Amino acid sequence: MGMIGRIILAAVFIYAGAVKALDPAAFADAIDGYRLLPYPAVTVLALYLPWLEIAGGVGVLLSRIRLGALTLLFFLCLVFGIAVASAWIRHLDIACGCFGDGTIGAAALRGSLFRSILLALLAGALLWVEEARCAGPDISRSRPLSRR
Amino acid sequence: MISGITKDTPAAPLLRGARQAGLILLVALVPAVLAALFHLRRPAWSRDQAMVPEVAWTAVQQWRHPVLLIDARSAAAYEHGHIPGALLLGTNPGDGGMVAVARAWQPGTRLVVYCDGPDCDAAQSAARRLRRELGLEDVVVLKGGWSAWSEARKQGR
Repeated sequence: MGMIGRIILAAVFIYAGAVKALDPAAFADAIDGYRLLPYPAVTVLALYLPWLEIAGGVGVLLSRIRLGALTLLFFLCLVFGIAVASAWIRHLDIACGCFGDGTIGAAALRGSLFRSILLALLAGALLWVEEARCAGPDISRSRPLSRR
Repeated sequence: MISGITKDTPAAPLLRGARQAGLILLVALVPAVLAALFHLRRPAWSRDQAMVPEVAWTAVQQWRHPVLLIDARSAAAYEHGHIPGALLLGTNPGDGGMVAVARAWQPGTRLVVYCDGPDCDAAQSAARRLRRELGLEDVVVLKGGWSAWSEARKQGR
């Protein structure tokens, strides 16, 4: 079950990151539409965020950095959710920009907000499981029994 | 000492998670810097460069260039009323509005994009999209949008 959840989360983030990494200029316009950040912060985020999503998505699939990747993606989902909710509350006629160009308008933003909440829940649940696993006996650090 | 198995304190997973997240944050920096330097579609560094200029309707009327008006509002708003001759771009990228604009465009044509009023964002984002996707340079946004045009028509301008 956890494996399926991880693959879904990784696939969504790798896909979303790849679409935006291909056209950072379009993503910068999408970020600018939220009216939350000044330039050149918009530019920096448009160049960096897609690769962070890809790296986080890949990280979820690698057991050595899974905990960090899930932590990161959980916070990213929360930030995306807050940004989309703020755009919806302010009645901005923009598209989410989450997966490149999208449909403009309040209905589409509500859909994007719902998706962000679902992803945050998925990432949060996987993170919780992973933290419980890591808090248990750490096999990777175990040493062979020493003789005295 | 018999036990070789260690047990983390409750704070340890948090610390380990933060360390791993830091590593991912650093790794993502490398392609981002490369994209900033070499990406063919890298974004502008200032709003002045990114913004499509706004032009008032009175100025548009005085142009001698052929003008193609683009309506960036919803289909419902367009059906309710639009500037004569304006093309509906559509709020969904899959609507085919871009193709219609590309077909209607001819060399020397100036594109004027509008949305509801002075505070709407759709015209600015549509104008940027037209520049990006169709490679058209001569694109402007109508200042005040549909509401300014309606007002000007009422006053007989």
